Amino acid sequence: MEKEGKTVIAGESRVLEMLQEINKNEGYISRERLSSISRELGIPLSLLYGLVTFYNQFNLATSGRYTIEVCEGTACHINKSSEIKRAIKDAAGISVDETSSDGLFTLRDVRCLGACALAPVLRLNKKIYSKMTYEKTKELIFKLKKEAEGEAKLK
Amino acid sequence: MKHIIRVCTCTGCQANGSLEVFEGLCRAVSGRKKECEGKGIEIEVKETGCTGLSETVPNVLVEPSGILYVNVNEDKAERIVDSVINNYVIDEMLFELDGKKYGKLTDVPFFALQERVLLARCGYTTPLSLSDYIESGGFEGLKAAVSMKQDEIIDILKRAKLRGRGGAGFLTGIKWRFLKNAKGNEKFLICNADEGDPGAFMDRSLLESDPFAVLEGMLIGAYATGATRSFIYIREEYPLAIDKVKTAIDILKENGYLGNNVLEKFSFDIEIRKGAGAFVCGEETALMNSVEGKRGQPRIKPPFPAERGIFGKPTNINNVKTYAFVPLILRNGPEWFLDKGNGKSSGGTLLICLTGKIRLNGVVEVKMGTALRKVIYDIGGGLKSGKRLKGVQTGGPSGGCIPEALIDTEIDYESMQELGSIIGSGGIICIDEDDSIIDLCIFFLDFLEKESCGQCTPCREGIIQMKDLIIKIKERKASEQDIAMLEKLAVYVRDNSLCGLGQTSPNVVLSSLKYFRDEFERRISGKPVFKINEKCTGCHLCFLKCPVKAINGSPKEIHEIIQEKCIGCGICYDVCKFQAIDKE
Amino acid sequence: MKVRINEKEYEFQESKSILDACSEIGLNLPTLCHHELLEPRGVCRLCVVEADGKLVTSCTTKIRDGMSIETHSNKVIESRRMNLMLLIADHQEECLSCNKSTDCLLFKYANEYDIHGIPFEKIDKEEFEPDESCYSFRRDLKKCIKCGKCVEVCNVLQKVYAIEYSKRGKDLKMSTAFEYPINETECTFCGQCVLNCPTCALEEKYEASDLMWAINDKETVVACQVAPSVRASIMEEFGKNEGITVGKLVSALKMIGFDYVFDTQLGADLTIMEEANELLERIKENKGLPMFTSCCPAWVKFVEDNFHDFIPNLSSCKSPQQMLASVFRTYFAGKLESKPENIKLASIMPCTAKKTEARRYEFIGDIDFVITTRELSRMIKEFGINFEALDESEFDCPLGESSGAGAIFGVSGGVCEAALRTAYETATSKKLEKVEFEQIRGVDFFKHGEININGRVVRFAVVHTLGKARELLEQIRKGEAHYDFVEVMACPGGCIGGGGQPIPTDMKTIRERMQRLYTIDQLKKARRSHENPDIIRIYGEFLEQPLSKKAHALLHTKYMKRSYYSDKKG
Repeated sequence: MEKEGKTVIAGESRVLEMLQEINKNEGYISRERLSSISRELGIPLSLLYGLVTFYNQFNLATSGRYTIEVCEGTACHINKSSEIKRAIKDAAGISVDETSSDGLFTLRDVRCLGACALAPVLRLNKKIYSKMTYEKTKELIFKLKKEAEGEAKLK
Repeated sequence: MKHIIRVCTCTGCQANGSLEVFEGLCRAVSGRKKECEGKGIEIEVKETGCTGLSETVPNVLVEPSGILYVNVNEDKAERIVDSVINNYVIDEMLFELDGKKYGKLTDVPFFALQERVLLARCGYTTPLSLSDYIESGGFEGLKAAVSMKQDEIIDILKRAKLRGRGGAGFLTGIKWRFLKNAKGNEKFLICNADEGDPGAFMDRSLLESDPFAVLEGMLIGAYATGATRSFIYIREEYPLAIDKVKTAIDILKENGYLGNNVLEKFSFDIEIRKGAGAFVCGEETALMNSVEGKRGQPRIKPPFPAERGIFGKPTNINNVKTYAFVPLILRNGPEWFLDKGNGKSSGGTLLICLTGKIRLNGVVEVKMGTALRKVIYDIGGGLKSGKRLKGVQTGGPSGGCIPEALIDTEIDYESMQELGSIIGSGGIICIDEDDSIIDLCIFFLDFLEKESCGQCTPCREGIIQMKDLIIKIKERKASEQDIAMLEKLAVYVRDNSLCGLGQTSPNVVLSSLKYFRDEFERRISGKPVFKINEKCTGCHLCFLKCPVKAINGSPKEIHEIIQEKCIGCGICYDVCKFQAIDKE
Repeated sequence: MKVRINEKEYEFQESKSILDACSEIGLNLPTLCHHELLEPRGVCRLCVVEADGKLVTSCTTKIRDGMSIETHSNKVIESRRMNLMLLIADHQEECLSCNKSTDCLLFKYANEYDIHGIPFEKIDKEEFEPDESCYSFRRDLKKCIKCGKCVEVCNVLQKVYAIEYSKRGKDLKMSTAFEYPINETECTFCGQCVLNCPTCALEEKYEASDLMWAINDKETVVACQVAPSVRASIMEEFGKNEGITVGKLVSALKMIGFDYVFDTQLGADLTIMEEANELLERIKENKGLPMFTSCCPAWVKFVEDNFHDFIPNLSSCKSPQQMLASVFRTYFAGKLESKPENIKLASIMPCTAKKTEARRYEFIGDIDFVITTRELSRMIKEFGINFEALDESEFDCPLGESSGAGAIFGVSGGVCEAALRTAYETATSKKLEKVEFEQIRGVDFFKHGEININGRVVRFAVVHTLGKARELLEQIRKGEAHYDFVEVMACPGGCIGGGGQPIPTDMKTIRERMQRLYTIDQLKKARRSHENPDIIRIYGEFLEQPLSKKAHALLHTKYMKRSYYSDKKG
């Protein structure tokens, strides 16, 4: 659509941005949210579904309190990022795209985070942890578990 | 006497605690303010862009002495401040390599052997300080450009032989000419910052360390082509880079470098768009679809973006580094740029990301045409823990493996292509004798299998089957015919895919088959597999006789054959006096 | 421009794709993702050729002066074979028992390109459960080769948006929103996806076997009705034998065992009687205009799903198949000795949406089976019927006579023309000099005209494909278009291009089928619905007059506002 010779970037092309905001603020995009956006912007729901399933970033299901993203870049892979995942499996019982039964941890693969010199890395709720090993990962998980337990006791 | 202590706060450095170092230094300085005043010393702690020596971060640079301290942590901050006040050098915190210590950053071979042009400001200016930028030559390029005609600017870029640094390597001057000549009342520029190659983070580094340079390049591009609006498409996995660029744009707007009246000559706006986690969106037509709010599926070309791009309007897409070179070329002239090149088809330097088993991981900048050997050994310090280099993987998932035997190759577009690889966005991953080429192939194909958009049959199905064939080979269930089929399939995918992702996806397979074929062939089912059994006395004879050092073990202990390295020659089997080796 | 194709030089006047150029000189290159009415996407890569030594897709590459093209060099053939082998590796092979093996493009090309065994592991497709939720068709993604034609047709041609690409790479899937069963989406069941799917990933729901059981049951009386489009295209399933006339078709149906063979064209005449008078009434009262036709069930669902504000504008008339069924159950069945539950009616239609229409709450029980043209051709082949040996038969009384107006219901523009013939003559009591309305004939997607009825200029328009219908509706909403009467057909060309028609259905076959129906119209004794003697009898003996109370009860219907997803929790 054009207005005075300038392309107006209509609602439809801003839809990715909108979805990114929702995903960031609410942690995921529910079916209801997607349906209401569909009605608001007049974009068919099938197209929105196709959009959110194309891009890695979007979660369609709720995540645990701590989302652990393990970098799947080449440098991290060569430097044994698989050990990080093994530690998470041992300490929290989850594989990729699973959430632990206590609702604390969700494990996700993420594409190269661009911190290759510090491989292997993981990202936890936006903070990057570098040169992680099996032991360091397990320690981190236990530390967070303890913190959560402590908080629960206070309540 | 004025001193500046600089700490990098880029993503990589922050991940290792550089923010804490920064704060520690600030506390230390303010704690000794009176003392400094008494001695007539002024110390400022400033953020800076990344020097690129990622191996030892957090790094701290002291000016004007130029001393570099490495592996700094919060606790060491006090000492550094003390050393500045009392004018001494802290030996233990200096950079050390092979027994030698280096005081000044400029003495460290890692830096001394580089040709830092794009990275010139990194380590010496505050990324978001407009005054630092201008003082170091910022906007001289833009000012020179607006005094010229559009065709003059484009001509300069063509003479400078600036090739796109995103991977395709197309001549930027020609691309800009297409856009300038395109018919249309509205033209767009796009800066491709969707650096998806695993193992490449120099775009991130540049955006976080010297964002104004990239923006100035885009401004010159807008003036030269007539574009009035633009997007920077940054991966959402780079939140700090997004933040820095956003602030940089705001600063430029406030100071009249963006908006309706830039230098009273033209109007230009820049908007940020975030990637949403799709490697294929680094491909320019897929990127355009993503900006339009659609699935990031590549489009057929023609029509080319300069003819019909985003929202149907003429568009030009360039990589971050390409834009960053432009102000330097306008400022220093095309001959200066050619001089930094290889004298063939490409001017300028190359920004490389060194990762993998190399001792000094990081971002380096060298003249185009520098030999791989120099980059890996002289600058990068060789391999970790003294292992032997097996080869390097260049260009990310779209590139290939180059064996150690060809390490004297000069890095430029032609030579890489001749070898069956590409420069790509500049990532170089070093692999050592313990790394399996087959596993590397599987790793990249696994990545591409998920990142492919899936539209076209050769890429979608071809990558799945290439990977399955290689797994079959790895599991020793494959035949000669399977290897031949793998090669045939790889050529098919290269020649039939719709977009660059598919077309380059077989590079890693084809180059591995070319240079490391024995790793595939010795796994053909039916070929003997050798294993050491419990009869082994640890006589160590096989260890000594093995031509590829594929046997582990200390004398008097049971030895073990490393299957990954074994070439199946059978020498160990022949020399063993104890029937301790089984042949299957 | 001069172009070399396979070492021979050809001259072309205009720029066109290599694919079109080759087709012109008599070379049909293989394609999977190509659709005549849509922009070429170049995704299947099967149509590759060597142009000046480089492999390019012929659908997206235009010819250039001096270009040298090889369509079947060794490299090209090897590429196509590799392509097919890769697809077969990702496709569940059930060819012997597959319903589409005679029409399957993968089967055809695998044969033509001499594929024997594939050097790849078959990909596990166990996770794909077929979607059998609707009456019209079945989705089995085990067989999908991801050409994307279904999505392109649904979103670009029809603008229905029931399906879209989801995920990517090896997980790429043609999905409904959130994988809802197709029955719970805005799908109109038009079947264009089924018609265009190169494999059996999409196929109509088969009722032919159940129908055969009923026919073989001595207790039941099975009648059938045949749509105009079926007679205009059934010959394509038998080598385009133009000797297969409608008379022979009726004989074949009798041989199969139908007790009565009726003509849906009579149902069409009924529809005209009601609809033309309804239109005149609306024009007189100036209410409910523009009036939209309602004989196309995909179009009706499209309005019910997406344009609630236009529901009152739909004609309240049932479709021809349903009108005939209503009259069959009352006027005709009452004359039979058999019990009502032993009287079955089957519809033979070019359409997949009709399978769902017959099961709408308002209609259920009137029609027991709906089979497509393709299903019928299989029944005929199963019987081994040889048309050459058959005589011609007539449709059965009293639901067998039809006018030319009834025949042209199968083409885009036909319903409008038929309605105008009756509306004009009823209102003015004058005869039309020329009954053909040329301005609304042909394959243009939007046609219109006007006619003066007693001083009132009546403006009419015709659209086909739901995408064009959507555009027109939006224009009418914005006040940019004004019409009194609009005919909408969901399928390109009208019902002759329907989802149940012989494969291939393209513009060439659509034009041929169109011509056959206009010829039938021309040769009919009665050209107008109100001249059909069976119609005169039915109204005289039974319905009284158009829009009578009885007519309303039997031949008119109501619509509902449908909505999706809002009440779904996830």
